[in-house]
Amino acid sequence: MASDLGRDGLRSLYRKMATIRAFDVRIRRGLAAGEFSFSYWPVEGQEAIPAGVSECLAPGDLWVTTYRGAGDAIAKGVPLRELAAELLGRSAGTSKGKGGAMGLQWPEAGLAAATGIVGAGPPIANGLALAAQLRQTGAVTVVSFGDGATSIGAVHEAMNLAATWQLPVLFLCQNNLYGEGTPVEMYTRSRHFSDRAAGYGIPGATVDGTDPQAVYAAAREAVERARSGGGPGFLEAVAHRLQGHYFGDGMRYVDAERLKQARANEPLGRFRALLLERGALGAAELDAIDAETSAAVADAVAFASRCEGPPAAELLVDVYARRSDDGSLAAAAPPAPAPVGPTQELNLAAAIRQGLEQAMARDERIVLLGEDIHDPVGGMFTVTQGLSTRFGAARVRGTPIAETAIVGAAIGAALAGLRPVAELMFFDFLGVCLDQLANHAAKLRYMSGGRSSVPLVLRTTEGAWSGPQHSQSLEAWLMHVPGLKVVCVSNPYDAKGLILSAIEDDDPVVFIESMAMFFDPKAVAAVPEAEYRIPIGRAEVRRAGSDVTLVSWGNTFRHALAAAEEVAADGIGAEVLDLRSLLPLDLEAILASVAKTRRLVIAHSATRFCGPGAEIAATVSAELHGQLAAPVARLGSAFSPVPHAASLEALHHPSPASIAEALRRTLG
Amino acid sequence: MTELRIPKPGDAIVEGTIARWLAPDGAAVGEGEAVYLLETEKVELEIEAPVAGILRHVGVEGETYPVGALVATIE
Repeated sequence: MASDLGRDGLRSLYRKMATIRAFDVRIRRGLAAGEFSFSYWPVEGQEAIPAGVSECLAPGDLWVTTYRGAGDAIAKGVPLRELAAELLGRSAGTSKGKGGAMGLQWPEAGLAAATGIVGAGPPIANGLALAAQLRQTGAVTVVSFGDGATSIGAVHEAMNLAATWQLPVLFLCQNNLYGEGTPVEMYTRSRHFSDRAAGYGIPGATVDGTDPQAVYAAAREAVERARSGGGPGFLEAVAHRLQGHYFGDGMRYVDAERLKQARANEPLGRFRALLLERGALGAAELDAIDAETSAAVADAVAFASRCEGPPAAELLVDVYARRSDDGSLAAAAPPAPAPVGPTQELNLAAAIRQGLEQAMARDERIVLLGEDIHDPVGGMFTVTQGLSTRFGAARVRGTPIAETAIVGAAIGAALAGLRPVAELMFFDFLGVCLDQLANHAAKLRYMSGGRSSVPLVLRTTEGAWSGPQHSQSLEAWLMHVPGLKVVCVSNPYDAKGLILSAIEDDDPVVFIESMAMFFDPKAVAAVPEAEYRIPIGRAEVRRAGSDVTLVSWGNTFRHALAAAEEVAADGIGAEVLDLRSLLPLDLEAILASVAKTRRLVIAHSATRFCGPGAEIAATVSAELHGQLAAPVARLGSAFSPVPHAASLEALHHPSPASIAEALRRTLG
Repeated sequence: MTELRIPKPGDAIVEGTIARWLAPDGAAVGEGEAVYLLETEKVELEIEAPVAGILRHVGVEGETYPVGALVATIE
């Protein structure tokens, strides 16, 4: 296929393809010779796709790639030395050797993210494109994924959202005919993957992915349309993968005859022959490009081989934006003095709303995303009521019911420098977006060697009275994820101070609210009208006592405080700590209190077995061994789903009575 | 001198067997020419010469070696 590319453009296409090929061959050769060992997903046969697409991009355009991303990275301009060093696991690598092929990122050249999770890139690309759309930068985001990814829900959620919001995204399906080791015809009846785009109102096209000029022409049309406000495009580029899914894959699933034909018709050699035949570039010039690219690749691998691996101290660096001296968790900010000035009596929903509103009024980077968060609904629990009216639908964005798309868009927007606050209506929906949260929001900083930052807030609600799938307390799931911060509030005052801190935090923060508290008149508190911040990672002693330490958080904290008051009548002085932050966990405050009281009771609404209380109890037992006057008591939910019937639900969680009983028992 | 070591063709692979030499000891091999047939738990793989030169066998046909073990050199 001819294109309007001049000699320079054709030379650039050839150079990119030749570089990708030389790099891929050199890496596979080194792997086969045992020169180095790592997981690698070859790109031979697909060189024309990134070459053609990148040729129509501007320097400010962005790209999200996959584990099979070496070709995309090279075409987007990632330097070969740093690329090779990353694959070899060296500290000179793009991600200091922490990401590998699955973590290739080089924001300097617009390679914004990579993922090792099939289909996880498109939701993130939407967020990058959303930031570009809001800031009117004109940047287009390309997200490449394999044919196999077309079967996963995340891609479909992302396509629908991109179409709805007319985001400047190019969905680039690199159809290499096999989803890992399964031929396309075994997993779909779709004739062309681009047909699916029509279902979402996205223009789609299928091109020969071995023809760089065809790829270029089709991509250019989609990129220009996206850049001029015409919304997303879907381009399927078909090119038979000439190597295995991974290095060492014996390709026993491949039709041998079809592979033989594809190899005989491989794209680099064919493009070279075409250029010679047309007289576009001469043999000497092409030979010179081959020699230059081979030398550059040889230099890059030699450089990487000479480099050291990352030092031991790097293990705990880049998990969070800041770290404490032991490297494990971000150090909490010092406690701030309580704000002075007028206050208002606010319930939990109103206090969070006020925090969001004040932050949005002074910080244009803050955007809200979520289901029904726009007026007139204003959120399931009215937390965002009035905000879309005040700040506009561009910044307060009601979304489709698609939590993976919501969290992914928040991640991409955060990568691009916005401060997104996404809403997950109920905590129980964590399962439908956990990959974006745990594999991407939490890890992209680390996987990029600290190049990327994901400053998002995910607000969610611990349900109550709502049965098995809308009432769970799942904080323990998230406390197991390095890179996340987890906050759980017990009152309106803390909620406003903590939401402001969460928005300003450079790490992803899950902010847990409580359905039982939102509108409870007993939970109304005096909230300062001025802005104030409560540091993430600091517990608060709510009630002083010297006989026993009682640790709790969230809605259960209210039961804990009631229990402490109840046993005070018996002469038991309970010191009650509200943790407020679960990750980082303020073990220092807990240990200081228990060192004094020598007794500890922990109460939470998360499941008792393997609940957060287990970690706290283990730490206290280890640190204060021999000083405890009684066994640590842990109260949590029963090991059952949350029942619908009120009579059973009342037995499920710790209650003021059960906590008071535990306090008395601990005092013996 | 370029070394040929047992590669790791797949994350879980820890050892490989020289199933058959495809080029004899002392042979002049060209770049990309098959040197030996590697057999692992998952696949059989023809291992090619990364450079041209004289092949020297170090490993023994039929023997199994851990990933990273030196099995040949090319001078």
